[in-house]
Amino acid sequence: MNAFVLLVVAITFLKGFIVRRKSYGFVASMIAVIFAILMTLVLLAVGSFSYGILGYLALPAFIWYRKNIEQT
Amino acid sequence: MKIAMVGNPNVGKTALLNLLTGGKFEVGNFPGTTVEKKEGKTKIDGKDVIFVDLPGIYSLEAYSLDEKVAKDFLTNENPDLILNVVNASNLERNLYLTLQLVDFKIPMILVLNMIDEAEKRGIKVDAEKLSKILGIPVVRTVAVKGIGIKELKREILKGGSVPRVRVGKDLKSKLEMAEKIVKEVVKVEKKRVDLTEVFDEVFMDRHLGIPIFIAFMWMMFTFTYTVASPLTNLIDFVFSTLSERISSMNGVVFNLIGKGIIKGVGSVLVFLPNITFLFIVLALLELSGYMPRAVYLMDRIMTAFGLTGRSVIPLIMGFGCNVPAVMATRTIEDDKVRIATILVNPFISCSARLPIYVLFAGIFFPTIGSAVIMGLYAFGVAVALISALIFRRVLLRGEAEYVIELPPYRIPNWKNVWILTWNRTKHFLQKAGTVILAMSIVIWFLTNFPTSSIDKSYAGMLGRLLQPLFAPMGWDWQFVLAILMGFVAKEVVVETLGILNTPIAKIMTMPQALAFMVFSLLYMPCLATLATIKAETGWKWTIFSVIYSFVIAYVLALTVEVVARLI
Ligand SMILES: Nc1nc2c(ncn2[C@@H]2O[C@H](COP(=O)(O)OP(=O)(O)O)[C@@H](O)[C@H]2O)c(=O)[nH]1
Ligand SMILES: [Mg+2]
Repeated sequence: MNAFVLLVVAITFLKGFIVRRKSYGFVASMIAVIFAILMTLVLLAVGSFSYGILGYLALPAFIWYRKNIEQT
Repeated sequence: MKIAMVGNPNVGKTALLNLLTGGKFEVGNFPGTTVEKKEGKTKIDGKDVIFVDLPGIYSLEAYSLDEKVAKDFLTNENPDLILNVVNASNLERNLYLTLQLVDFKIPMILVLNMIDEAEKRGIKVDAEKLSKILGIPVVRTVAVKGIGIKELKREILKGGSVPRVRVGKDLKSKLEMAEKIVKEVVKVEKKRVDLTEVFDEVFMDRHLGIPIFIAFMWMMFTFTYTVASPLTNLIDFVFSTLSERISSMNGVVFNLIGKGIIKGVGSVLVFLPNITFLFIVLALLELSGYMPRAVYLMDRIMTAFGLTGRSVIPLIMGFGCNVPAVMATRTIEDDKVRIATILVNPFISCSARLPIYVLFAGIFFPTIGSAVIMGLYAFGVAVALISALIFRRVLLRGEAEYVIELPPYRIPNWKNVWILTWNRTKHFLQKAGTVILAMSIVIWFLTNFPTSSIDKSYAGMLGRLLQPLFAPMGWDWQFVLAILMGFVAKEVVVETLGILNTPIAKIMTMPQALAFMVFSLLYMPCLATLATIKAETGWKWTIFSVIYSFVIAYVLALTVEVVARLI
């Protein structure tokens, strides 16, 4: 199921590129960051690692989209 | 002074009430959270004031129960003043209700709330002009930030004024009038890109909407199961140490306290972190405005099963507790749809059942616990939907439609998340201190008398007596007893096993455990839910609900057991 979340994020990003709408990238990066936070909590709670933590890499993207979204 | 708060759903009535009274009522970001009237008392400048928060309504035609509640109140209880709360960014539809309120000839104040949101969307409302047209004071507020409250209090002390606007009694002329007023007082400037539209484009995407929803659900269960687990273990450790210490002392009283009360109540309280975490996520989903989107996504599915979009809110509330969920069906106009929604609600897995899943999943599926739990929730939803379809086809035929209104997205404010979470958690704690405490004594008594060898105790006799009924599933009598006791409240299932000290892993197989979880999910509404169903629908449907859910639970649990054994 963790892989499923990452897949959803990836496809959402992809759709954003295809239809050229920033909204998809914005939401995808937001989900990625939320998921990364959750996976960090999981790591702290039970010590199991998930690649979901890499979602933090989407943080700059999220910030960029948040700044630029209003002039689509 | 008695003041009625009237307005469309989700315009900030409750938020305003909290500000005016310092109260802690639940605000929600979806229509239909307040279905009963709620009262808040306070003093303004030394004057006693009672505020009555009526359910949000669009009109006073009294088709649905909530409209009737509001109308009856206004006609029979003679409030001294109406605070008509309206959403500044959606004035026209709000004014339609305002113009109906005019007919009551009660002094009014118009509260123009959510000014901040209107401004963000480039909507400007000329409050003075509006006040002149309607002939009542108009106050601009932002309830979440407390803006405009001082002025509102001042106007309340002045007592408002009876509207002087002239409008025909029929609804058509009211509609036209609302449109005309809006033309005069509202100015829309070129608006910037609205974040709500940005989110909706993706969250309600035709292909991605549902996968994103599932992803969120997965995160919710991971949070409630995995992230909460260290806290659960900690509480478990505290209670078992305490229980052992006390019961090792001599005497029957220590035994009752240690092995009965602390063991019993403890075995339920252990799951407090899971339940609280679930409530936090539910509150976030509700307050952010995502919930109605999920509803919208599901609407097509709902209609296919003979329910309406409106049924979804009660169904979602069922994840917290079925009691308020059953009451929330009052917003459903069509009586048949309403009864169908009530009857299927207990299949939505409420938080009281979470401990059962966490306990069994932890033993039998340690690595994929969250997935199993999410599966059970989904299973409950599926049973609810299919049952709804059956009811609507066979017992409760009729047509129904509903258009859901989508509120804007909002960043949840921590205070509201806290109020929502705490109110629900508090309910759980109260149950632990009352029903579950009482049951711990009952169960302890049953297990220690006439003799304290469990096999020969009343508990053993009772369990064995009923066991043949569940022989096909192969459950030990202890589980049967747990189910019996769990009828009082579902947490008691876990409690019973705790007091009996049942070595679950030793006397149960994985398929049996799955079947047991399915059975506990479905088998019968708890006592409190039954009482609510009775109050809302009468005896006939209550008895039906008991029998129907028991049969469904039995058949499905058996099926699950057999299927799981084969694979
Ligand atoms: N931005 C903004 N949000 C508000 C305002 N007033 C209320 N809200 C939010 O609107 C939602 C609905 O409020 P609630 O009081 O439950 O509305 P009710 O259904 O009329 O009782 C909640 O999420 C509130 O936090 C306001 O003035 N501005
Ligand atoms: Mg309310």
